[in-house]
Amino acid sequence: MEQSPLTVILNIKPEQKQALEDLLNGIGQDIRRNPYLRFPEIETTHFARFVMIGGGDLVDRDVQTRLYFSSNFDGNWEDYLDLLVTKAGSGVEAIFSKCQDYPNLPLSDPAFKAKFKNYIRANTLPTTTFYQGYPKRSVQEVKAAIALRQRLQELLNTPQADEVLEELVRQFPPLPDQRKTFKGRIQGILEDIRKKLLQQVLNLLQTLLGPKIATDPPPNVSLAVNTRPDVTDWLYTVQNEMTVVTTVDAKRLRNLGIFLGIVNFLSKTVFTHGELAGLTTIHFARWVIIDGGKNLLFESNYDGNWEQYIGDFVDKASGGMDSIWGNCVGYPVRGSKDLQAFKQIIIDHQVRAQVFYSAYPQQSVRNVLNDIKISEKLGQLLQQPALAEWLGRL
Amino acid sequence: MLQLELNDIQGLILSGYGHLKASRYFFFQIEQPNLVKTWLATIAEKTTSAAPWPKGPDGKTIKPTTTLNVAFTYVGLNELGVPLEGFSAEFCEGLAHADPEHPGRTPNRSRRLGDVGASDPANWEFGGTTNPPLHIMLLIFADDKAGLDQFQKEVLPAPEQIGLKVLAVEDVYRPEHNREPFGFQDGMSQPLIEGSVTGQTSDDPGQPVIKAGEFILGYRNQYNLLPPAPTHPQLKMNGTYLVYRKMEQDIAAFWSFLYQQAKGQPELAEYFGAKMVGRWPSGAPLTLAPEKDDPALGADESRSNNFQYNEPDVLGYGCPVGSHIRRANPRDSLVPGPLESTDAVSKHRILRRGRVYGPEYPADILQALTRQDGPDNSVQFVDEAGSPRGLSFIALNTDIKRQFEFVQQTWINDPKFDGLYDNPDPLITTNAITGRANAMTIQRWPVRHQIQNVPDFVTVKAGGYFFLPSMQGLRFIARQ
Repeated sequence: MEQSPLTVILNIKPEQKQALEDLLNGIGQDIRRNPYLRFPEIETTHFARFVMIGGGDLVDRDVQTRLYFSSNFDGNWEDYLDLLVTKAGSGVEAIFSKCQDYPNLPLSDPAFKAKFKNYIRANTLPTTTFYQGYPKRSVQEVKAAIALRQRLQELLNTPQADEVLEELVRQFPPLPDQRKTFKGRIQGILEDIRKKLLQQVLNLLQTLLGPKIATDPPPNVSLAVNTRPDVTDWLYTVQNEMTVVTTVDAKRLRNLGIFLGIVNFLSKTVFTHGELAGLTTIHFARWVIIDGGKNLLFESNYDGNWEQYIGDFVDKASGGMDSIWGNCVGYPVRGSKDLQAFKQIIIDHQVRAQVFYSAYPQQSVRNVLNDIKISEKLGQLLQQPALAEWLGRL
Repeated sequence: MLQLELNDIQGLILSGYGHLKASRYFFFQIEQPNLVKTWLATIAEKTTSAAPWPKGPDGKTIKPTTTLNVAFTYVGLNELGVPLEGFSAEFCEGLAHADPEHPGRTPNRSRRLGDVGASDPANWEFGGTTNPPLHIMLLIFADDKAGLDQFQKEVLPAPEQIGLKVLAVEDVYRPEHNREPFGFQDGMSQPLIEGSVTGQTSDDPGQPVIKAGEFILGYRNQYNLLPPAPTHPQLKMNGTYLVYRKMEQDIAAFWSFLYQQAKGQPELAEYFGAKMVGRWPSGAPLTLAPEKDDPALGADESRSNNFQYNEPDVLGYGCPVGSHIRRANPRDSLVPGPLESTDAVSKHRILRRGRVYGPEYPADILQALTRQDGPDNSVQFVDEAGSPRGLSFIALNTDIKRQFEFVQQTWINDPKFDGLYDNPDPLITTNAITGRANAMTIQRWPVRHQIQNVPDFVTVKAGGYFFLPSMQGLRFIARQ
């Protein structure tokens, strides 16, 4: 099942701004049971968010005159929108009626669904770069894998399992470490070569397309970061959200577009196993060029805390960060390696989501991938003829 | 080679004064700033710097018999009228930073650090949200108790005479056997500071040479940047930030739980304990000694820290992935690979200057506890010493958020550390962080063993963020 991104940006009716913010905050505070929009019922949703963002000129981050609605879902756009209207019609009405150009039709009107879909379609932006931590895995598949792993763990934690295992260990000594075999070593070397090649390609692209970044160490003492607890403090224990909107340097729009296109291509072809250029904590991320090229929107659904995430950007994907955000106004002249300055530009342009939904909020990316591996490998083992033969003897 | 201005750096940054077993930490509130400054001027002359210790005629180093260092909180500096521009947000807010808009709510910082539940700063003995604010921390060290008392008389007049109010006095020491109260060798893995050692590299992967700017303001850090520092010229060089945390250790609960898990078998209880720590009681690392303690290895400084995880222990069959030492310093074990891990880890190191408090105890800690055998092989331990024991933790770093707080939040507290599911640090975290019972997974062949419902063993009782100024910075503060 293909996973798809939905990127919608709507103008908020000025007189409804406060009401919308209150409504969204209410939904966000009780994401699973609120009376308006219960994402668990829109069951193909992996992650979704509503964020009030600034206007097209972004003069002030806090003006927040527009609504950004995003979803990372299974299947196609038509089905997802149908599901949204069918399962959460009143929530859809309550939220979107506070935005401009909302179709003036009651929910019960037979024409509503088509009108609403047209309205959303008209305000949907193509997602420039879409990264998925575990492509093609449906919500259902992920949840089934979680449940299976939990059952297996429970089974292993019973005293009976302990006894059987101890007996087995006594009778059959451990196998030698597989990774030290000839085959294991060759695989390791090939993996290293693949990584280095990819790094070289990325470096080349960054040199060709990226902005000029000064490489000399800054002579002055770094400035202390001016923090904002609402975005940098750890809000949730396992997963967190980031939305960053920056202004594109008009002269660099073309290069930004090309580079994001390449990252999008790599996300579909190379970065398909839970790793994006060394970063292993991203469930879904996207970059979207919005406002006809004026601004760049970044969304991430990531594991861990802000400090760790931004540190990872700088430590592992510094060149990539420069090649993307380096095309934006106000980017540090020494790039992301100028740690404090880089942290500051992210903080200054980050907007907190009023609503942040995850279908499996207790799972890290590595948990999801591991659970899927457990399910798949168990299936493969059980379907081996030799095992079927052996099981038949019991 | 980088030249550190050793004469201007407080000695604690370069030495834990291991030969001085006795020490006392005073926590003061400033009542009369002018009197305090007069006293500080005399203290500045007695403060121990990092200048190399002299050598005697026999060529042997003459180590000092007493040492003294002094540090300040943000509120303390403000009381003294010190210019406050450029100090980091973490230091300004403080360790137990209560949110004025939400009084009574656990502060954001405390949630991130895991100071919740019983460790909530609302419950602290000092430095917490319900205690008067700390202003000054004075640390004095001596050979023994008698020497310490004598030294105290020399440096500290009656506090009311010098305009100070004592908020807490902590007697802390370094036991001869060097084991922390749970019974394990401590303080073995410390980064080496560039400029304090010859050469730029270290052969010992447990003790890499880290750029001086990670630990001392005014020098370049691991990013080749000058770390953010107070703006005033007298304060911007050669100082650092000091994190103090008083961590009470429930030794009886720790060993009772281990014996219960081991169904009363002492060797297995020790094995489980070692799996949680990542080292055996002797200090021998499990990666090098996976099956049983190797005291010769533990005692050999050239070997006991000389190991990496990624080969031979990437799966955690020796040192479990979730064990304490593997989280506090993951070395080369993190994704996506050893090189990236070593680089990333080097940006989150702290210097530790921990000591212990409470009644003395033997190297074999179980000797200090009373054992009570119950039915079904159950063993309970009771600590009858009367007063609690624990660790008086000190971390030194130039960027509290990127170093101490990062280690605490991202490596120690995160139940998802390195691909785990529900396994925060089994030694020093509390279940109150996740609100769920935590597990400790021991990776092994053919399938992992999981210790479930690991209770809390450590409670944070006090703490603070301090600025440890340079020697000239200290004189400057006294002149305000």
